[in-house]
Amino acid sequence: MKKILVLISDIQMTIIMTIFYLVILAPFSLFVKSKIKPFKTKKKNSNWERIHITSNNKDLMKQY
Amino acid sequence: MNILGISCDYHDSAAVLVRDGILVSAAQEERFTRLKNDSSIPRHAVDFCLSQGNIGLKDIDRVAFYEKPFRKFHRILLSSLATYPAGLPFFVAAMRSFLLEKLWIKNKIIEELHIPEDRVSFVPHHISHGASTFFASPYCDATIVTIDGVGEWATSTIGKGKDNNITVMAEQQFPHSLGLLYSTITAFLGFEVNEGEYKVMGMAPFGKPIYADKIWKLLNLFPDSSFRLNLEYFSFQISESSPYSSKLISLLGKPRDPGSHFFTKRSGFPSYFGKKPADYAKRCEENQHFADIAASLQYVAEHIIFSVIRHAYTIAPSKNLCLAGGVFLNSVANGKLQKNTPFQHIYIQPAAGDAGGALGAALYVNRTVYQSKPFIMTHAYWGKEFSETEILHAAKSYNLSFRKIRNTRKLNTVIINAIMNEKVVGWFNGRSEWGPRALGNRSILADPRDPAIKDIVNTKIKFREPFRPFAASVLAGHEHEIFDIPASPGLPINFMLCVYPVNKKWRKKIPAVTHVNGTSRPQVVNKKDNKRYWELINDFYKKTGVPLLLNTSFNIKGEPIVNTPTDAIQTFLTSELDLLVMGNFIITKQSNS
Repeated sequence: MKKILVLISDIQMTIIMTIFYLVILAPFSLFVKSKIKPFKTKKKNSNWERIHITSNNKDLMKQY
Repeated sequence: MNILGISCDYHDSAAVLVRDGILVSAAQEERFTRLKNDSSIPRHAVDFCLSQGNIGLKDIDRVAFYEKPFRKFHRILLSSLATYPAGLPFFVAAMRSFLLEKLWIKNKIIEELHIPEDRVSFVPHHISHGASTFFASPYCDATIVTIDGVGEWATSTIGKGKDNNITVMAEQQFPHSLGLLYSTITAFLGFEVNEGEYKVMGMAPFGKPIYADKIWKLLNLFPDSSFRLNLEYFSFQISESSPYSSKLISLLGKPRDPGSHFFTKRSGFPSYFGKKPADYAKRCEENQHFADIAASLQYVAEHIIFSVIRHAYTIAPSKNLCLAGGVFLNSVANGKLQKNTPFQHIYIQPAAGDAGGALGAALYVNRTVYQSKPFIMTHAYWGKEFSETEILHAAKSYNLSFRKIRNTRKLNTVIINAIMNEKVVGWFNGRSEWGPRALGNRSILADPRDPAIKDIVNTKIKFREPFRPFAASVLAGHEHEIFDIPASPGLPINFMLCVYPVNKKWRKKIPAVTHVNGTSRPQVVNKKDNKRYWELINDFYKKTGVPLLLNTSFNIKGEPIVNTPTDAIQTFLTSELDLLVMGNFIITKQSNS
C-alpha cells in the first residue's frame, strides 16, 4: 500500500484527497457531525468523558 | 528483561532503555541530530541507549511506542469530517503525512529494529504520560493528572495509580484542549508552537492580566473544571498554517509580528537588538499590550490547571499527585500547585512533555506486563557521558589550548575566580540531562550577584529575548532561606520545574536570577545526585556567601543543548563564552600553537 502511495506525487495526492474529501466524504460529514461527541454543540454541565481503562486490560497495548 | 521505549513522529522524539524495571538510559534525538525538537525515528538515541546498556537489538525483549497511530488517524479523519467543508486544508495535509509516513510507524520499527511484530506494544498517549510520572515517582498510590495539546483523542485525563496499575477514570477530548489554547495564543504572540510556550510564560510577568475576561471568552468552563473551547476563535482544527481565526484577531487585536523584537519600558532595550528605533515609545506600548495578553493567558491557564487538579482530588483522592504532559512544563503554575490544591506531595519527572512518553511507555510495559520492581527517578542524568580521551581528542582536533587540573578544588578555584570576574563559563560534565532543562551537566554558569550578567550572557552567548529570566542552581539545604517554597516541595524542584518567589532580603543579592516580578526558577542540587556540580557551588558559597550559581542551558538560540565535546567546543567557538570546562580540562580560545 505504502509503495503505491509513495509513487503518487504531492500534487496528485492533493488533488485526489481534495476530491475524496469534497465528494466522497460529503455524505458522511452530516452523520459524523451529529455523532462525534467533542464536536456536538449541545450544551451540558460537564465535558469530562467518564471512562475506565485499567492496566488489567491486556489487549490495551495490542491495538494499533 | 530489556524494554526499549520510543516516542516520535510529532515532536521531541526520544528513546529510553529500561532493564528489569530500572532505567538505564534516556535521550532525545535532537541532542544527536542537532535539529531542535527533531521528530524523526530516534535512531541515534536508540543506538546510544543500546550501547549504554551494553546490548544489541537482538537483546531487546519488547519495544513500547508512546501512542496509538491508528487511533490518532481516526481522530484526524473524524474531526476533518466534523468540520466539513472548512476542514479541507487540514484534511489534505494530514492525510499526506499519515498515509505516507505516520501510519506505517509499526512497519518502520519492525524494519529498523529487526524485532518481531508481536514484540511491539502501543501504549495510549496519555497513559504513557501517566506512567512516565507515576512509575518514576516515589509513591505506591497517587492521583494522576495529564494535560497536553492532544494525544489520540484525549487532551487531559484524570486517573489513579496503585502499585503496578494505572486506571484512567475521566478524560477530555480534542478539540477541547488547554494545551492547544496555550499554543494558539503562543502563535498569536509571534512564537513558534511547541517551542515558544515558555517564552509566553516568561513574558507574562511584564504584563497584567487585564484581558483575562477576553481569554475567558475563548472557552466555557463548567463547575467540574471541564471546559469546551469556543471553536469559532480557533482554526487549529481546520488548518495547519494558523491555529487562530479572524474572530480571535477581532477580540485581541492584531497579532504580534514574529520577526519583531519584544521589549517594554520595564524590560529595556538590549544592545544586541541594535539601534533603538525612532518610535521606541510607541513600540513599547504595543508590546505592553502583548505582555498583558500573555499575563491574562497565564492567569486563566493557572485557574484551569488548579481546578482540574482539585476536581481530580474529588474523584481519585490521594495525598500524592503525579503530573505529566507538556502543560506541566509550565513552571510558574507548578510552583503554585501546593498552595492551590489539597495534595501534600507532588511529582513531575524532568521530561514531562512528549519525549517523556517514551519513558512512560517502557515503564508501563515493564510494570503491567512483567510486574517489574519499582523505580524512582531522583535525578535527570540519563544521557551520554564522554571519557577523558574523547574530550581530549575533541580539544586537540580544534587545536585549542587546554590544561588538565586533577585536583577538583584547584579546578573549582580557577572557575570561581573567572565567574567572580564577570566571565561566563561553559560547563560540561558527566551524563547529559533527560528533559528540556540543563541541570548542571550541560550548563552555562555565571555569577548570580552581578546585575549586569544577564545582559552579558544574552549579548555574548544566548542572543535571546531580554524578558526571559535565568535560572539558579542552589545547594540543597539553602532553598528555604532564599526562596518562598512549601515545606516539602518534592522532587520537581530538583528538576527546575517550579518557579517560586525570591525572599525579599535576597532579591538584591541575586539580581541576575531574580525575574522582574521577584520570582526565580531554582534547581536544588544534592551532593548524592551530582557531587561534582554540588562541590563547585559549595566552593562558590564558601568564597561569596551565596550558595547558588546562575545556570542556563549550554546552547545558543535555536539549537538543542550540547551533547558531545565537539558540540560544546563548537558552541564555545561560535559564541563569546570565556571559558570551557569539560571534566577536569579547562579550555580557552587561545590556539595551541
